Formats: sequence, structure tokens, C-alpha cells
Amino acid sequence: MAVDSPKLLKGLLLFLFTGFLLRLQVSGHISLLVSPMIATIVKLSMILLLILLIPVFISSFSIRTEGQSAHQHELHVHGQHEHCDCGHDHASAQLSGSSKFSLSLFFASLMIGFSWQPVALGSSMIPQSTTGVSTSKAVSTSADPTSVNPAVNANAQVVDQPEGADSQASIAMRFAASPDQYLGKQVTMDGFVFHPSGLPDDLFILTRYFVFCCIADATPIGIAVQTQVAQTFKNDAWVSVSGVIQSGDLQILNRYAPTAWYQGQKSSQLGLPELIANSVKVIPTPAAPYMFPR
Amino acid sequence: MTSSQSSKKFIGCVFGFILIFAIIGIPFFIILLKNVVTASGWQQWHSFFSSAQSIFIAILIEAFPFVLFGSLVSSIIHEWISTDQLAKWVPSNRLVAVFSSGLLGLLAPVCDCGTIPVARSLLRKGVPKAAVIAFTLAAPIVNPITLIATYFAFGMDWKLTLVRGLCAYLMACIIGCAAGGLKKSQVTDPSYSRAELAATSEPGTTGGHVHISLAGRFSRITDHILSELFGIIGFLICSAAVAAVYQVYHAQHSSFGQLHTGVAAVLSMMGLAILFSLCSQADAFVARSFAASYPPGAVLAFLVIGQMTDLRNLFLLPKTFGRKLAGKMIGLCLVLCFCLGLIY
Repeated sequence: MAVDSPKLLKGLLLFLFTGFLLRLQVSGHISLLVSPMIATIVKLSMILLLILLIPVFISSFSIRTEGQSAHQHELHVHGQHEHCDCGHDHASAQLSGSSKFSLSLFFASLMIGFSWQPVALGSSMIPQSTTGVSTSKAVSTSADPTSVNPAVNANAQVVDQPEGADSQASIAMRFAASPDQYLGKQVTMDGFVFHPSGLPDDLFILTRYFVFCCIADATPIGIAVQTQVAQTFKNDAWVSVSGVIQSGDLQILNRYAPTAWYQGQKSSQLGLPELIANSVKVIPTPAAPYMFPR
Repeated sequence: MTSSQSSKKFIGCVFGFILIFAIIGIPFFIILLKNVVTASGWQQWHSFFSSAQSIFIAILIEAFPFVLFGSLVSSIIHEWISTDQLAKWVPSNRLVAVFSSGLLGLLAPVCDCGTIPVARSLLRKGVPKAAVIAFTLAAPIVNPITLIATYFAFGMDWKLTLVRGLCAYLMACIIGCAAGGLKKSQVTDPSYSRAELAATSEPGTTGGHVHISLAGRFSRITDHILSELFGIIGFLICSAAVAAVYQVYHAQHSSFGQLHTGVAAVLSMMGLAILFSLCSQADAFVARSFAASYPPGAVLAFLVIGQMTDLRNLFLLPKTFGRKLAGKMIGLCLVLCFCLGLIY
């Protein structure tokens, strides 16, 4: 019996990789990396991989199977052990230099994967604002709730229907289309604290990342929270805020990446949503810290 | 091969890896050690590396299934669909072939990681290069999932969604025609494909007399998937590493809210799209976050170029189409996309 060692090695590496994926799925840490949609696709790929690995292991230990011998024969006919036309070396052949390189890179990535400490992205991944401190004084007064557009105040009816479905993302997507639906609404939202430089002292931005596929496309979306105790919370601390949505100052909030995301931000008529906090509670970092598309 | 020989080889391979791994790993450790000494920098580096590590793993995990499914489709085409069959499906009119293959993405919603293996097997089967190029470049954008994602990310904006899809489609077709060539001598010429065939170890079609059992076929498919997978994964890992490190660097060093305009804006958005190497289904959301500081033309350039010549494709296109042709394609993509960004 001959052992097809390059093939066996490839198989072993893929098996390790499947193990890594399984570990992520079982521990639930996969939600710190990819969206549920992608996680499902990853599950499917794990099943496919396991199905593929069975013949790989069997054939790498057994003496040539029929198909392989045919293939090997063709390779010999062309006088090449390493390459057929495909532009890559076949598993049953000897390992080429580039293949060794890609196998070792795969091994290195696996090591990086296994040594990964599950942490959620924090405020360090939010681009900083350029126009910070110098203009903050000029606009800090307009952040006062009393100076909020009176028309907005008149419209504001406290619809006391806190819905779990409301998140920074859903408001960000729909605020411009129907501000009346949100202004004056009582909501409770979770997120981490972000203090960008130049933001008035009584504000912080309650931020969460919106992840569509994987955290490489994580987009920070936040809502400004107004509270007298804003400064007592440090960056990246997870808090749960209950409050009423009001119209905040467009000029200030448009300067920061998480709050500039709201649709219709360029219209001067409409401010950006701001949460006037009734209560701010520190909470532990949730198991699924990101927002995903439904 | 005796078992002692093969086990020696196995051990040799393992040692080879450890060696290469050490060579790659040593610079990282040196950088890390240096920063341990300056304790203040440690915190910063630590957060930099942990963020980059998370993003790297995320990109890899996300791209892997698509590469795997792409390899599977590619292997099935390689094993089961003969060149003659495929030639029947590809329209004989070259222009029609290019424009119709550009639309294939509508049927097979794949990311750019999935299109490359398929493109490789199509090329091997003698499908006109122009058509394969149009497919490769257009499929990631001209696909329902990407377009719906763009629609939602930009606040239900049909205009930008349509412009993105159309521009990408037209660009892909133009580049396909220009780089792949429409001359008869170059492609689907029967003599050409037969010549290719002769050099190809194509099961079931070349010899015809070689009968392969289902089990044999299955084993060959798995072999082919393995080779396809490991032919691509090295490039995937390299691009994921660069993209992850750059993303963290960009987040920590870029400034938000600064208004960019004109040529510089388009160029920098194109550069970002290439370096970020985002998945086609997700890039609209990132593009939307740039909309506050960049003009619409630059954002459109980001949305179009990112799926045609991102880091992954810069590595993989030359491997698929050959350096010369890939160079042409990439050059044309960049120029056309730049013009598009300025005009829009």
C-alpha cells in the first residue's frame, strides 16, 4: 500500500480547517465574524467538505483507484508528473513549489485561526472626525434639547410602544422616509459607547456595527444619546439606553461616521435622530454584538 | 512507491511547512517583540493586531465556501461537460456570446471568489476568452443579490442600483471584446479548440475509449476540487491578510467628514475598493458610509472597480488568463472605471 502524502496532507489540513469551523459554530463565536446568512453557507460548506474528505483519505491510503490510474496514465503520456494542462498540480502528483507555499500559508492561517481570541470590534475601528474640537464650541449650544426645531416638537407624540425590533440600523434606514414615525417615540436600545473628539460633553454615540456578510464590511451605525452623565461611560462600554427620539443637530452629527449614516442626512429641513435618555444602564457585551440584515 | 519512501516524503513535507511557516512568522514576532519593549505602544498594537486578526479570519471563512462551491462547479464542468456540448451552448456569434455571458451572473449569484474557478474551467473548455472575461468581470455585480443589497444600502435608490449594474455590465463586455478579441482566429475556431483539446487531459472526451466508472469519476472530481482549492487558497490568504491589515490601518488613520472632490476623490475611492477587497454582496454598505465624504461618481467607481480588480483578482486574474491578457484587462478596468467616476 502506498501513501499519497501530498494528498493526505491537503486532506489533513482541510480536516483541521473543518474542525476550526466546527469549533466556531459550536461556541457561537462565528457570530463575531460573519452574518447568520454566511454562517449557514459555512455550515453547508462544512458538510460538503466532509463528504469530499472521505474519498480523499481513502484514496490517499489505497493503491490507485481506477480513475486515478487513468489520470496518472495521461500525465505520464504527456511526460509530466506534476502538471497537466489545468494550470495547477494535481493532488495525486508530487507537490510543486507553489503548492507547498500555498499549503504552508493555509497552515499558518489555521494557526492564526486557532490562536484567535473572540473579541468584538470596538470603537477603534470607527474613522475619526477631522473637524473636531475647533468647531465644537460653536455648535454645542444647538445641541440643547430646547433649541430643537419647534415644528418637530409639535409633531412629537410620545408613542409609548417600545419595540424590540427597533435598532440603530432600522431607524437609520427608514428615518428620512418617515420621521414622524420615530420622532417622540419611546425606545430602548443597546450599543457600545463612542466618544468622538469634538462631541459636546452631554452627548455620546450609542454605536453598533452593521454587518452584511462578514466583519470586513462592518459599518458603524449609531444614534446620539443626550444625557448629563454621558462622560461617566467609557469608550466601548456596552450600555442599554431608554429614551425618547428627538431631532438632533444635523451640523454636529453629520461629522461622525456612525451618525452620518442616516438617510436623508443632506436635507437641511430634517435633523438627525437623537435619543434623549431617561436611563442608561451598563450591560455585559452581548453574545451577538453586531446587527445583521433580516 | 514503498510505504517507507512515502512516509519519508510525508515527514519532509511537514518539515517544509514548519520551515516556511517560521520564515513567515519570524518578522511578525520581531515586530511584536519590539513593541512589547515600549509599553505604551503595546496597547495600540494589541488592538491593531486583534482587529486585523478577526477581520482576516472573517474574510477567509466567508470566502472559503464560495471558493469551494466554485471549485465544485468548475470540477463538474471539467468532468461532465464536454467541449463539444459547451460549444453548442455558446452562441456562435462572438458579440452575442460576450453580451450573453455577461448576463450569466443573473442566473448564478456568485462572488468574485466563486467566478474564478468557473472561469478557469470554461477557458479550458475552449469557451471564447472574450466571453469568459465578460462573465468573470460582470457576474459579481450583475447578480440579483448584489443589486438588491445596493438598493437597500442606498436607501431604496433604484437609480444608483441600475447605473451600477448597467455600467459594470457594459464595461465587462467592452473589456471582453477589447482584451479577449473578437477575431476568429483567436477563439472558438474549431481547429483552435481541437488543438487545445489535444493538449488537455479531458476525461471521456479525448480518448472516448477510456471508460471511467462513477466511483472513478467521483474520485477524480475530488482530486480536481483539491487542486483547484489549493491553487486559489494561497492567493486568497495573501489578499485577505493585506485587506485585513489595511482596513484596520485605514480605520485608525483616515478622517471622516473631510470632503473630497474631483480626480483625487475618484482615485482614492478606487484605491480603497482595491485594497478592501470586499465581497460583492457587502460592498454597497461600506460604499454608503463613504457617501458623506465623497461625490457620487467616486462612490460609483468604488462599487464598480471593487469587484473587477480587487486584491484577490489582482492575484488571480493573471493566474487564470495569463499575465499579458490579465494586464490588459486590469488596465482597461482601471481606465474605464476612472472615466466613469469622473463623468457620473
